[in-house]
Amino acid sequence: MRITDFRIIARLDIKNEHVIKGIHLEGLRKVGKPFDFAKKYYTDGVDEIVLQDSVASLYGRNNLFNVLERACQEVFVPIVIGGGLRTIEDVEKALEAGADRVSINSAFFSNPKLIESIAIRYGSQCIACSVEAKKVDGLGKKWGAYFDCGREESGKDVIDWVKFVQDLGVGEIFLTSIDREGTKSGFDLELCEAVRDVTSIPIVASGGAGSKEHILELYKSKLVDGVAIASLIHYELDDIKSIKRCLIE
Amino acid sequence: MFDRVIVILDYAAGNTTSIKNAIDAIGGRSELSGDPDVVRKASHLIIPGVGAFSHAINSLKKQHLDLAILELVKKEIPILGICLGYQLMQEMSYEHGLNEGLKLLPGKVKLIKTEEKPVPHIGWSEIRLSDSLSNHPFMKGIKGEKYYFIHSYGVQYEKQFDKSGFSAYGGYRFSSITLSDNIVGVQFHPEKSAINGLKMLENFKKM
Repeated sequence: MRITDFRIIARLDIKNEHVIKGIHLEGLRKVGKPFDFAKKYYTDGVDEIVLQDSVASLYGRNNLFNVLERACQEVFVPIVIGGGLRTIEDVEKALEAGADRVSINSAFFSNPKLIESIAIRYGSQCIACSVEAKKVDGLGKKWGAYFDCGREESGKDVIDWVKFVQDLGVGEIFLTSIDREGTKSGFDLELCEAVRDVTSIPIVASGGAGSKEHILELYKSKLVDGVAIASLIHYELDDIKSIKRCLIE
Repeated sequence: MFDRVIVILDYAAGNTTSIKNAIDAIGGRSELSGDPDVVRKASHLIIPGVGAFSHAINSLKKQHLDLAILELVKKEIPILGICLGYQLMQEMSYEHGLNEGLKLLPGKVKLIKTEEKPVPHIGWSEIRLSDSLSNHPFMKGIKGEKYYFIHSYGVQYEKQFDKSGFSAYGGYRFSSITLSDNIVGVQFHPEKSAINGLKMLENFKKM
């Protein structure tokens, strides 16, 4: 069962060999093996899978190529890889292992020219910019762009940043609300709208899914093109089939 | 009957690993090759592709693969073009200026035009086929499913061309699949379209 133009995406945050789940992108809990999760969600009908290396920045590189290679042998839906991808060689390695797209955040702050290099060589569509947004206190509809799993502040405004990377050739935005991440209190629709207003490329939202009703609300808003979920399905609070059924009805 | 080896064209444009994995998964055998001599002897050919049209067509011509492909067409060898590979099979493309394609099919490749939806088109969409096209061997055992698309350009034909099935995205109608005897092309990625995509590859293997 697939819903047209709205992707249900399973995000696996991986530390060492384990899928982890956290609150506010900190405080981690191990929930299982990445490959097993990927296979399970594929069987359940997920539209796409994101393999996110959540400690890559500590090692200065992405450690998920083995998981990616193995997943690409048995999971036949698009797989996106992210975390610690810094150079065109990293991107080449990811795509050759079978990744459909790459998700990059930190490296674009320090080296925005990387966007253009990737776009020229592989096309804009394979570049997702992962944007971590945290509300700036007391300033209403303003969010700061963060990196390193919400730990580091870039000093840039999310809206300015999104416009900037879109102009440089990013093909998609993966938008995470740091405030809502892991809280199960619903999505930050204001954030989604603010980003939607300045983009013509697809947006995938994440951060805050506590129930399929939250996802239904996001879907009905028509603000984004997909949702990336993690704890909702990792902890089996809900499952992909019933989420999709809810959207169809 | 021995299992034929499907040649996957290697011309420095795009992800061949997923296609290779998918063929393995359906019990087929594949060989990645950019050598015209190998291509000329293929029993089946897949033209993959991700990235820019002009770069890809120039690579093909530089490696003399265009000529090898034309020989396969003459021999009626089954050829499957996927995504950019499908676009390369057409008459011409308007991406970054006008570029000629392989001319195996009479389509034109143009930028997706929609006010309603973001571009690139990334997601799962339905394909619509006439009843007669649904009887093509490539479609055996497959009905009304969605497939994974990722593209900014789409193939369009003149009205009288009847070998094509269509999809719509934000009001923009484009050719998502062409089934012209042994020349088959798809805009979507069967190797990333789960069970039904794998079934299509299996059908192709049997052509």
